[in-house]
Amino acid sequence: MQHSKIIIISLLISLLWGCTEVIDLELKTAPERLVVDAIITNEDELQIVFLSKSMAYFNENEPDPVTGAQVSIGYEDKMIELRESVEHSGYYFTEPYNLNPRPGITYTLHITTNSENGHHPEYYTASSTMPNNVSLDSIQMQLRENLDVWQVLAWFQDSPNQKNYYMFRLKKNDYLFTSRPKDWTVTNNTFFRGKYVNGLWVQSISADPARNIMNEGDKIILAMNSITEEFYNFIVALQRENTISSPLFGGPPANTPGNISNGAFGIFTTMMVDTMGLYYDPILHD
Amino acid sequence: MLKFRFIIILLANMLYINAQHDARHPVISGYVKDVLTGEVLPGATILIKGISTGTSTNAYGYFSLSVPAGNHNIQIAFVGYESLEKEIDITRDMRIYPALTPLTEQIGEIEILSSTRDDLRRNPIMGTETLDALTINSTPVLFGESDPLKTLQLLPGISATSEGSTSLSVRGGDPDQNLILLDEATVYNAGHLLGFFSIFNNDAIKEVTTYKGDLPAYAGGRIASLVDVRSRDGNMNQMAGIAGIGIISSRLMLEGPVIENRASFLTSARRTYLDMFLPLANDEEIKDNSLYFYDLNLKLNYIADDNNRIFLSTYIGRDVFSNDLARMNFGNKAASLRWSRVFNPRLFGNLSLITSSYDYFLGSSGDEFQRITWKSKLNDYSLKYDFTYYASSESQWSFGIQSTFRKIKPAIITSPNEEAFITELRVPDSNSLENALYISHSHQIGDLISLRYGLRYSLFQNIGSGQTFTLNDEFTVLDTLKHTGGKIFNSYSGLEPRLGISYLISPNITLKGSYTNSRQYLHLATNSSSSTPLDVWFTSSPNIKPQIGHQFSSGLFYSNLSGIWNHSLEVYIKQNKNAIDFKDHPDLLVNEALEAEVRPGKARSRGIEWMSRYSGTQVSGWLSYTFSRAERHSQWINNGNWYLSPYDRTHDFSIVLMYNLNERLNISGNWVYFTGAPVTMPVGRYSFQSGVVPIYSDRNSERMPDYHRMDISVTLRNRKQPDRRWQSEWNFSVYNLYGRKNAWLINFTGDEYVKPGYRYAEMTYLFSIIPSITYTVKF
Repeated sequence: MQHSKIIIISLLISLLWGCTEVIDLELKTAPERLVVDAIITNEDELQIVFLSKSMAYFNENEPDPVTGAQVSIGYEDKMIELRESVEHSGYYFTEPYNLNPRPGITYTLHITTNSENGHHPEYYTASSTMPNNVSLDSIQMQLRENLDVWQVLAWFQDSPNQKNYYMFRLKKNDYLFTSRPKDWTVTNNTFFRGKYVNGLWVQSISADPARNIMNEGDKIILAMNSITEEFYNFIVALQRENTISSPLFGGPPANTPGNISNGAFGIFTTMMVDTMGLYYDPILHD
Repeated sequence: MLKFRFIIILLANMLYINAQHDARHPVISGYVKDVLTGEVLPGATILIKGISTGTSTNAYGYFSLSVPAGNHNIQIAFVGYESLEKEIDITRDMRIYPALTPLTEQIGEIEILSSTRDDLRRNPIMGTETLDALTINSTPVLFGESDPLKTLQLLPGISATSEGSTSLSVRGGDPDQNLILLDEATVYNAGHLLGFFSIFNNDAIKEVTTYKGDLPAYAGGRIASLVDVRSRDGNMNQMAGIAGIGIISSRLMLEGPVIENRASFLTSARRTYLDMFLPLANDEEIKDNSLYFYDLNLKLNYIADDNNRIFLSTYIGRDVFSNDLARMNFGNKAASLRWSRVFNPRLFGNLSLITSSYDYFLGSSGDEFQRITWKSKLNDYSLKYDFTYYASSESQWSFGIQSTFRKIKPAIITSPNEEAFITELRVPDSNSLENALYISHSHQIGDLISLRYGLRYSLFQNIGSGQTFTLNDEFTVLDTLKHTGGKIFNSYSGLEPRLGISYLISPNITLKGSYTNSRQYLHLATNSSSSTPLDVWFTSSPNIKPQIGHQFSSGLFYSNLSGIWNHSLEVYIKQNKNAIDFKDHPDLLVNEALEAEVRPGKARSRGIEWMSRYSGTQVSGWLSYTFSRAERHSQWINNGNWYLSPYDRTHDFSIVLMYNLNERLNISGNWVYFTGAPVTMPVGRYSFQSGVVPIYSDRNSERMPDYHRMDISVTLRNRKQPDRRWQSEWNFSVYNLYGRKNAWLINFTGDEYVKPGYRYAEMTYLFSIIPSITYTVKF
């Protein structure tokens, strides 16, 4: 569905005679705020929380990390303290395997920033409940010449009687191929609630010969993540704010809705991951 | 209900009054028409010289005037026509059919046909403008396509919602707050090709009248304006036609008598052929694309006898796009059947049966197994009965009743493929009835004051089958209630008072004031500043209260004795209750609980409009300037602070000039300037999983760059030859003469793979210098 919408919208936009020009624009800068980047999965050994600061829009540098904060994650009756990384400032992590993420458990993140530079310590919190796991049955890959892409297709049983949200990411030879959020595919189950999903087009790999991405024997791993509604809305908004807007389909842009208290940006979320791989073979897949 | 009964009794009484006769005040009535075509002339003035009594013809060309018995000198006038003067001895009721001769020799004497001077002074309606087909034709336009809605945008208080768009914002209102009627049928999407062209083919149009908020009591259902488009009836005397070839479209109009002087027809067609150039493209991918739109208008007009006339007007238009990935088509269909009857010289009635629909279809082409088809449709069926009772030359009553049944199928998505796992998705239909009763009285008090007051009672009903949602404070759907077919499960009603007064300060200057209250039960789910073909209309419901608009306006109008100079200065204040806006990132397409995306609030706007118009024989034109502000408020949007409407324009200036060098050559030009539209801009960024996430300013707190543009157009007619029945003309026009790059949108972009995190601002402009050429033959 997401794909159909994109195709239709790009069809309409392609009809316009638009010309573009780079312009100089002076933008205002909002006051600096805390940014939380924290995803808890059943796949990771260590759970990582990254804290940074917001900055001016045209500032292309890496964000300033927030150091010296007290970070902990609580669930059931436990409280896990996170340690700040020595080499990577702003990164806070758990001990390996001590969170043991399971579906249905609610995890709560607590952050207290330090009081250096005359700032008062501030407290931030957010919670997320781990979604149920849905497993992949099989995956397939096929070339669509008119679109110049290999489609990655997924087969799985959607769990009935509830709204499910999925996110799909790709790895190629252990390298995260869809590294940035704008490359992730998210979908809800509006169109296949409770059904057996029969080859849904969930990811794409460019088949542009100039980029020469796929070679025989390359391993492709598809990760299907069961995500929360909150995170689904966050990614949909984030992607919307990173694609071309237009008076025709845009509407006013708006901030990506996070779940951190006290006005911080970003999100704290949980997700269940299931993966499946295949080896690229031009005879089979082209 | 008591109110309802009261109005019915009032209306019934009105009908009986007309039985009375008064021999000392006989009634002169009739239809004013064009001598060449037999077409009736709405807005023509009838003046009884000596006793300075007068009136003007209604939309059907009918007038009625009671005068003291005796010999009178009657003058009948209409802009662009030779006026007619006649001595008539009026001793008893009589009917006349005056025919006016057009001033063909000075075809360039083009102007906005407001009413003529006398009428303008007396009429207590404000903020109205009438454009005739000739004026619309004379203003320069994009790709040479004459467009009534774009010409309207050159008037004060009316602006385009975005570059090149036919969508209108009237006095800061939203585009869905304009009631656009084509021969009384509601037009639900007035745009072709993503709104760059309107559906109105100028060849078929007689005139366009706009009421900027001071709505007459017979109109309602929208709170910002009424755009009343009337088509021509067709030539009663002889066959005639217009054929035109332009760079993107061709058109043909034919008209003529079916029975001479009794019945006529008019048919017009227009089709674009942008896609004809596609096979020439080198790019294999777009070779098989199609892209066109067409319009068909058909009008039949039958004069059954002295008292009865019947009209049938139909319209079909459609846009078609397709490429190898997807196809799409959309369009309007409308038909209206009208019966005008003169019950007696004082009572004119018009019964109309109307239907209108808008639908779209989307589908992915090819063999893709996730193939879908997506349909959406809106239908309406209306009955209207309007009466005008000409009580005396000083007093005129209008009253009537209307009822509209509307069925909306917001979305039906299916997959034609058997193996597809896609569930059929159907957003439930919505049925509703919108009813209204109205009565209005225009009254001339002495020589200086005229008064118009009216009352409209509207009743809106949601009818099953349908569903309603129970929402909590956070707009989450808690419960869905299904309603069975035929059951009225929700209704809203209210009285809408309308009031207008005009006072003649001096023979040249009139002071006017008005108040309008109106209610809107139908809303458009759109989140963009430009109309899109996919927008879906939705009705009021238990969760969506009707939008209620209040408007106060006041103005000074000056007209010199010859009527060549007209100046006006108007101020207005508008307050809207239950205004519709949407939450951040709303989901407006294929959403069953669309109303949970609405964040109701209020809206206000105010402004000053100035217009000066010169209507000379060689030179004519106007200058208009608007200074205004339009704001919205909703406790759930922008942290509960007031924010600017996307249609706010602080300054809006336009100048239009038309110059007839000689009888063959006509030059016209216009220049427009307005403040950039309010937009939301990024004011920061942060990083999430190595991706850039923008942080935005308050809603609409920044602005696009200011907009300005100049267009010119030259029309060259062939030399007149007495033995030739046809005339031809060339029209050369240039849109955006000095190539101003007006930003249509500003995007922030960068190449993630080359330099992650780097962003720059990029503006998109749609039209640079666009020359066009049109050849037209009239026969």
